[in-house]
Amino acid sequence: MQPSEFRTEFHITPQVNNERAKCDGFIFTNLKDGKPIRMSYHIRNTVGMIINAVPDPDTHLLVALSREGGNVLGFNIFSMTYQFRLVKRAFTQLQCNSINSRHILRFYGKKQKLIYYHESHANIEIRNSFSLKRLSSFGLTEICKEVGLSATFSDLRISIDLDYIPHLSSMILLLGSKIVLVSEKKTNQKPSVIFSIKGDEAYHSITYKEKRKVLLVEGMFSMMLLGLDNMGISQLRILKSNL
Amino acid sequence: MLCWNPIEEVFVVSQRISPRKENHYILSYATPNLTHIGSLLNIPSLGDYYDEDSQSLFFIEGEGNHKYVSFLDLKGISARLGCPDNPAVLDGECMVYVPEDLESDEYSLRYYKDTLIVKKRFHFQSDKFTR
Repeated sequence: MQPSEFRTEFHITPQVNNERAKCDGFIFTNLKDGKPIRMSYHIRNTVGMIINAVPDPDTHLLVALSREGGNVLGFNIFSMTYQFRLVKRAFTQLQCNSINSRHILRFYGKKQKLIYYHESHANIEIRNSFSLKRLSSFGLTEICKEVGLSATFSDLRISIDLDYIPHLSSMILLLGSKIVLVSEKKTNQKPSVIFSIKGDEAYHSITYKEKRKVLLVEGMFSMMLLGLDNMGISQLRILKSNL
Repeated sequence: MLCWNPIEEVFVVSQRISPRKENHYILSYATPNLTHIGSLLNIPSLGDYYDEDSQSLFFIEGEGNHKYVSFLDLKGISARLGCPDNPAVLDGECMVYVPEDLESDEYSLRYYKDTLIVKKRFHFQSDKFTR
């Protein structure tokens, strides 16, 4: 049997991905003399394209999310005390690892927690920040169902933002105009809406600062500061600038 | 928004003034209203990073082969600047020069306890937009 001949337009010639070759950088360990050290070659070639990196000053570690291919994402832990040496890595398979996908990475070294979300599976994963093992997973579909936001799920899966509140052992989610508290232990209380934003402002980002127990919600034209105590929201300020 | 410092009760926000330049504004919420207390003007849009530990905002200044990493220390900035009627125009403090062979349109910066990393930022040519 003769092998079939494809027309030339169907021939596929794979090209070497040169994205990694573009990665280049310097480390300044002695800022007084300003002498740079070129980032070592092996670091660039063992880790894919770094798309997000979160340092933790308490544990002296840096967690970086790297794109290892069309369907593979890597979690990489670097030691910041040893010139960013790679100490641990793990991979996860995704249906679609497009660079445009919404991904969130939060790192809480004190509690050994790594919180990760990716649009393609719409799951919030909590991983151990040392072993990188998955501890629990929360489906955004179920959370939306619990708080009555199922109708807007397709929008929320790409606009979600979240942070972690250690003293409540919970995650705080910004789902459109609702701020939702989700306990990290599934046996505890169900996800609940702790604040509904009124007005036309579209808020897109939520950040929690543990030292001050303050939550910042950012919008296009204004910002909201919410004070948190053990019961929930204790104070609210809406800030607008004339700039 | 470039950074939020809840200790000093300030935000630093940036406003694009030309395709490659931006102004950084320091806004204080220590007062009942959001008050503009200081500015860094005409900063190239090359990259920035805020280190919470040192409360410093790092950014790149200069042009061509003469780029350098500058920083603005936000520690005590509310007390230093107060809430003047006319916001102060500030300058970044030069930290290190970016090596000439690291020419790029955009950089990624990281700082950790006297160690600074300056890297080229990726450009994903095959993707039409990034979120």
